Amino acid sequence: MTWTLALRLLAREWRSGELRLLTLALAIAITASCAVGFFTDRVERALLRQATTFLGADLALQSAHPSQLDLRRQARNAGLSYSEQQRFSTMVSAEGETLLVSVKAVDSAYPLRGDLRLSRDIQAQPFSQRGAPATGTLWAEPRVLQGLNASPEQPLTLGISQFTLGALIVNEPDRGGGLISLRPRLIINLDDLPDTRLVQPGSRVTYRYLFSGDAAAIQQLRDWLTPQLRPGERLLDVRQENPSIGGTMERARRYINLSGLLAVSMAAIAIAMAARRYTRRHYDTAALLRCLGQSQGRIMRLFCIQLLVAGTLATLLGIALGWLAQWGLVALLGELLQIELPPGGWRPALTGAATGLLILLATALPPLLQLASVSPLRVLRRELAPIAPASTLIYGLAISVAIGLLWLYSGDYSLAILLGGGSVAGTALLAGLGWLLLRLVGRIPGPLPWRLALKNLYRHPRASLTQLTAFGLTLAAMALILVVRTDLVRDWQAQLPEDAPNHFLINIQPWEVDLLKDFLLQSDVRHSGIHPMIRGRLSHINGKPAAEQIPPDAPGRRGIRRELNLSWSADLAPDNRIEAGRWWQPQDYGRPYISLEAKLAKDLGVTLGDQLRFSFGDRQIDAEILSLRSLDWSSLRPNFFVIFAPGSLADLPATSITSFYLPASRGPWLRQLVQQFPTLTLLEVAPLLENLRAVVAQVSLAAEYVLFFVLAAGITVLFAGLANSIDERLRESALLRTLGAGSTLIRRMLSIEFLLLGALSGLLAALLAQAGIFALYQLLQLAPRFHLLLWISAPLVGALLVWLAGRLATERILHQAPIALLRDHQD
Amino acid sequence: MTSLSSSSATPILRARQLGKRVNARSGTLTILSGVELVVNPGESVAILGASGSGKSTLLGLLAGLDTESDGEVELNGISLKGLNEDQRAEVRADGVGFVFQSFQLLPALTALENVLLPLELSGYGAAQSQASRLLQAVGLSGREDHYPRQLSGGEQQRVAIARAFASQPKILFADEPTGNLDSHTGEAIIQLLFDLNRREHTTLVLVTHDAQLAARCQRRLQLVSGQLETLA
Ligand SMILES: Nc1ncnc2c1ncn2[C@@H]1O[C@H](COP(=O)(O)OP(=O)(O)O)[C@@H](O)[C@H]1O
Ligand SMILES: [Mg+2]
Repeated sequence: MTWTLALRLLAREWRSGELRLLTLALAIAITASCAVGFFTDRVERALLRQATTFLGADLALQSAHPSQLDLRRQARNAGLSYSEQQRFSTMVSAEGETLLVSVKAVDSAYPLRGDLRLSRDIQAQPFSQRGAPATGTLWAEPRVLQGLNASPEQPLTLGISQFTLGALIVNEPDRGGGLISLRPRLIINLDDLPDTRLVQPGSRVTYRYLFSGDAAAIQQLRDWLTPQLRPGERLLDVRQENPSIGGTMERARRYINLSGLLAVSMAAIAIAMAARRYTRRHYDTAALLRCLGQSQGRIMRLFCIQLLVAGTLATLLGIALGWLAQWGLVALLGELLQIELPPGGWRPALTGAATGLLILLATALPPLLQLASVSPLRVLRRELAPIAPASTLIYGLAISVAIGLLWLYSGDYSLAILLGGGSVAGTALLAGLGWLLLRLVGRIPGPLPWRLALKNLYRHPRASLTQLTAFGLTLAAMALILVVRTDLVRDWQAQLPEDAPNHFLINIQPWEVDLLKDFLLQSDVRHSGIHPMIRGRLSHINGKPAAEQIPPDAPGRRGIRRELNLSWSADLAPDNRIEAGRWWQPQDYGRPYISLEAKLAKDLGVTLGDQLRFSFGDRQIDAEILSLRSLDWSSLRPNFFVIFAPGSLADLPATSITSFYLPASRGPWLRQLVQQFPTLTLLEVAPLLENLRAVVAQVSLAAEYVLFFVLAAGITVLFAGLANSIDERLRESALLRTLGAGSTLIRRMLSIEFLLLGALSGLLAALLAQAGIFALYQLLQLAPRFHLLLWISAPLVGALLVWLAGRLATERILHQAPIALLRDHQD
Repeated sequence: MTSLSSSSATPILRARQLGKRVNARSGTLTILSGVELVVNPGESVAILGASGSGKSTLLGLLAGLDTESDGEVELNGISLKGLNEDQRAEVRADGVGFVFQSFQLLPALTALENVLLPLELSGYGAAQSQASRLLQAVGLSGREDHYPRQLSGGEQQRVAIARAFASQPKILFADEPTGNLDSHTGEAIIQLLFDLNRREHTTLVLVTHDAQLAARCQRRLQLVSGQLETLA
């Protein structure tokens, strides 16, 4: 019975507009959090998928020997796609010419992720391919034919088998091994491998077991595999395989999480405000119901049911809108990037709903409980209002619930803690400063509307301060998201400038270096310097075998497992930075000094002054670490983990490497280059660059879209906050009008009030956002800066927004007769 | 102490040695003390007094909206002493109606819905016709769908009166029902209140500072320095 009555009352309240603000705030809040959630979910998956193309899978087990586990069955049981590969280096020959190549034998599931692009011949249009080459055929990079001086029709011999060329490889998604793989690639069918007799016991073969599919199942598989890894086996994922993509994704995820946290926190404030207003406006109803003989329990139930039903409706509406918003995003991103976004999961909807309802309960229940305790005597004595719980307490509660939920949801503890602590400190700071500001501004004399406006702000100091704080927090969140987005996108784009090197030249012989330099100069092609390169293996650390010092599964293993590309140089590359120690001077030349990449040094557990022994074939060189460098792997210049002082490797055979940018329009020049320097190997990294650019473009767009929802949530807070005080303001202006004030005066007064409130909030917001920038940029790996524009625009935009929202809310009523106002808002 | 009862039937309302003190800033303020009152079913009683003499306070105590400092109130044969808020609400639910100076209509409900509310609260689902009959009786047929803000003060008070009678109360408390109305409208409202009262055989306890209005009641009492005195 209570239910039907509650529903009937709810319907009436809805019709009369009483519940609309609360429902709207809630719906917008849930829309925002759902959209951010859906969006994070989908875009993150899309990004991850884009990035997984670098690995060709979501997860890979790499092993030096065949795995003992039945991985195929494991994958099938988990509903994952599965593929196997074997990789090794060998010689390929054609009519007496031989070439060292890197062979990849694949099965019919290849590639699990990414787009393998082949072409019939060099001139033909590339096409996408899935599966392995037909048995007896192989796919080869064009430089294999170049290197062999062979025509496409010639049979190629691998081991004891003969193959014909099926197609040329244009882009191989899982190129692996960093940006450049030195040996030209051949792909054959795994079924053909036994016949070649290339793989014998003791051959150096790398086995790869690849998995893709549902993220949760992948995680489970990872958890299952990790404890079973044996020596020589390791798990690969995108982050390890490609630090630059991993870094971009990590920051993107952080940013999106940050946006989600802020959007939901603001939504929480909006809900809390609307709930407060709702309860305040229902004191009379509660008192009357008490008078009419209703028990406290029943009144509670009546209101709770109404709130819950309204909340549920708002939630459904919010989820629907969030879903729609997400489709908008897909249309937008899909068209722009021509990539397929995976379908959204249900989790964001559930999380959004849970978030909205929990925040509603947490923030609306305390004031609602007061409704039951309203004295029935209020019908006789108006001033009997229950003591409201402190608004800061309610807002604090709202934010804590929001942050707690997102903590659970995103698992980004450091961000949640930073934001939670930040908003508590920020609230205290804003309340204190706001109070000071109000007092300061109050001293400024002015004409009547100004004085009246100030009086209004002072008459309810707590309400004004609450608004100032809430608006300040909101504007700060909006500003923060805007600034962070701008800085992030700028940073990302700086990594991949338009003229980023898109070609590598390797195998440059010592006598060709000067000729090549001249040729590039004459052709007006800018290159990133010609660097000597020599491959060597790190064998000993401080005189002890490195393999004994680094545990098999430690990250430092990557430094000793395979040959490293080493170099020497007199100058420090522009994108390298000395982190410790010193760069060498001319008097150090010829001495066995090295500069080591800082991260590798950390993984190896070595530091300045330690001795590393490198072996180059049968030559051994002991070198001392003179400096540690950080470098930018995403710059697409040749970069080296280990650089020797000039002269210390002088008598070792080395070739050189360079990279350069060539616009697509100058393609024919490449033929000239190859004719002039026939022994050089040319690598095109344009497809890889495009892939990187796609990730950056996607992430940037994502950032923009998320920003929109943060702004929407922020504007809801402004509206809810203003609505809370609008009754009071209207009543006062109605009174002024009955006292003979013209509507111009009142409009001016209200405008000044809103502008002042907005400008002061904006000022406080700038302060808080700037502080937030300093705190957050650590997490986002950005260099914090002072944003002058923020300090100028925040007060202006704040004033404009609050003024606009306030005037929108008051304008309609300004045209009504004051008596209507007095009657409508009597108490 | 003079007994203020006038008849021997079982009283519907009785106050014994009723007192109310509140803690004000300057110490304890005694608003009422030793109030004695007996009201029989069907009676109409006016309580007069200057503004601030404690009329509303007394009404609140009599209707069980407030707790007494001394003495006891018996409403509908039930002593309110020692009852908690909810138990007193239960007593009110069973046959007590109110009309207030400030109307107290719910702004979110239409005129009809306001009248319907007490019926719905006590579980009469399909009371629509009864409510509109009542609205008709107070002269507001055709205004059912109007919200309080669309009605004049007098019309709002008519809705409030219709609402008060909707639950067929045995006793009706009215606190300055014409206080917010001009004298002409007030006159009409009072006429309505007494007509309905007579028709429904309701007991009426009316608080007012208006002697003319009080004159229409069967009995008139006056609050003077916290005590009730019978007026001739
Ligand atoms: N809770 C209270 N606290 C302080 N003073 C009160 C309280 N309740 C009533 N009073 C005072 O008691 C006196 C009587 O009030 P009230 O019953 O409203 O008078 P009336 O209705 O006759 O105008 C007034 O002076 C009022 O200020
Ligand atoms: Mg009074």
